[in-house]
Amino acid sequence: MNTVRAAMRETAPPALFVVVLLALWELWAGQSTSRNPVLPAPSRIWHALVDTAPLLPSHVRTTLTETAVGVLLGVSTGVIVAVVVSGWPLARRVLHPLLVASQTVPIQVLAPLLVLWAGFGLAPKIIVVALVVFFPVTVSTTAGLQNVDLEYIELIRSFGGGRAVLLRMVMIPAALPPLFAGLRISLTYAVAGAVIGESIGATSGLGLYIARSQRAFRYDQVFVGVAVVTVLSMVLFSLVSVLAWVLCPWQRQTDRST
Amino acid sequence: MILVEGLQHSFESLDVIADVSFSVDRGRFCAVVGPSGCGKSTLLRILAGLLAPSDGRVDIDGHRAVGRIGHTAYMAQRDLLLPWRRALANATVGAEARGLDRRAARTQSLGLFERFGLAGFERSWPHQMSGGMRQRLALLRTFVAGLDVLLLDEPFGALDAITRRDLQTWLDQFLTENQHTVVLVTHDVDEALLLADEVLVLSPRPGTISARVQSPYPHPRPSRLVTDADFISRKAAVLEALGQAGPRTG
Ligand SMILES: Nc1ncnc2c1ncn2[C@@H]1O[C@H](COP(=O)(O)OP(=O)(O)OP(=O)(O)O)[C@@H](O)[C@H]1O
Ligand SMILES: [Mg+2]
Repeated sequence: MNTVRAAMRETAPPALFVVVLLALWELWAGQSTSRNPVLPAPSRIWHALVDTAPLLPSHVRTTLTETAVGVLLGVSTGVIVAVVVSGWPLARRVLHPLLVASQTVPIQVLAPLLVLWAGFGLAPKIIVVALVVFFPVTVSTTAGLQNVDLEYIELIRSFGGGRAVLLRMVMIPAALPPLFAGLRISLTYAVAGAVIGESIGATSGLGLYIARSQRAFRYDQVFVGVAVVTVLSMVLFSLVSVLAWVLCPWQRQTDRST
Repeated sequence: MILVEGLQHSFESLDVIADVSFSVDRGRFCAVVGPSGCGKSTLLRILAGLLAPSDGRVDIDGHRAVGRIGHTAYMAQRDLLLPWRRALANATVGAEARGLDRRAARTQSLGLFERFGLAGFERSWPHQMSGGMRQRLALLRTFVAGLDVLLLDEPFGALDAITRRDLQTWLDQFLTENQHTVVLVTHDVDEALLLADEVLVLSPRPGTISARVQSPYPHPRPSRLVTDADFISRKAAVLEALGQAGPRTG
């Protein structure tokens, strides 16, 4: 009962806000439909969604595959780099400027080059997603590992615990919450990264769908694509939140209070 | 047993321990008191093998202990409970780090939770426990590690006076039943004399032993011992050694 009421109190205001926004949008855009095809009314977007629904699943599947593989790749390289960088100061000095530089190259510039190198298949999009995920994960995991209380390490050492014990009992659990924090941040860009990659050259995917619709001046379909991307991002975000909730049970209480 | 001879330690140019020699026989309890910053924690960390001293000799059970780790159960000044482990899993941290059987350590801990007044909190997270409970859990972890030599750095430092008395009485009883060789660092002179067989008084930094006061009462000791005339005269001796070593010299 209480949890249901609490959940209602959490979700009701934003839901209501979205409904009001959609209504206003419908009213405003509904009158100018013929003159302004660039901003179609929500009802027209809905119709476009119903019309193109049979096309969407295969595009969604492509984009999801690229995102999932890219995220896994980005997270695993991020964690490896974080471990190396936090355990080896020289590596940090060498890699840190490169890490920062890697983030200053806009994806829109990088993506066409990647397509040239890696072809029209999944590979260039996976690389884009991995690049997007890699940096926040590396930075926050490195910070997590470096901020481990030295006295915890001493405690384990004083009982004769070696590196493996230290890793299992202290380093991994200490690095998990910051890793998830970094992953949450980067996930909001991950799907978008795949879509940008697809819009440059692809045989399937939501980015291709959006690009084609754009070329055909079907802005209602463009909005369908954008809406699907948003929903996918939110689903991924929730999945990772659930994973964090499961893997970091000690964080649950503090999460709720803040 | 613990044997310390001619121990010296400096952190770069800061002389922390000047020249310290003492020994603690197997099953005996030694307390160390001294002004803040005189090197008490440093001494314990050297005994634990966590810190190599600048000079001197440390033997634990007949083996050279300098830099040798895992032969003492060390309880630091902070409780150092791992926030990602529940109370029971924290109790077994020392035993697990030593490579002992986890299941056996759990069973032993479960038995001790009652005695430490922690029954019912086995599945609590450290942040859900009071300061006193956390400290008791850290002490429990130190016992469950299953080592003879215990090095305790102000184990009751964060506790209120009443809980502190309770735990002192309790520790005294526990150690009477379970033979351990103990070095206890404390600021509390009553606590030192009440628990220990011998009290070492350290001078201000760089620390040397300015007095050794015996506390020859049989264990377990009643807490009303603190009002005993002989106890009070020994307490006066400790306080005087602390006072002499204090600001008057400067
Ligand atoms: N790792 C270190 N590096 C440099 N100096 C240190 C280090 N550890 C301790 N010190 C210095 O050594 C001195 C003794 O420290 P120590 O922690 O042993 O004191 P203490 O007697 O335990 O004090 P307290 O009663 O306040 O706990 C202090 O002046 C402290 O600043
Ligand atoms: Mg200290």
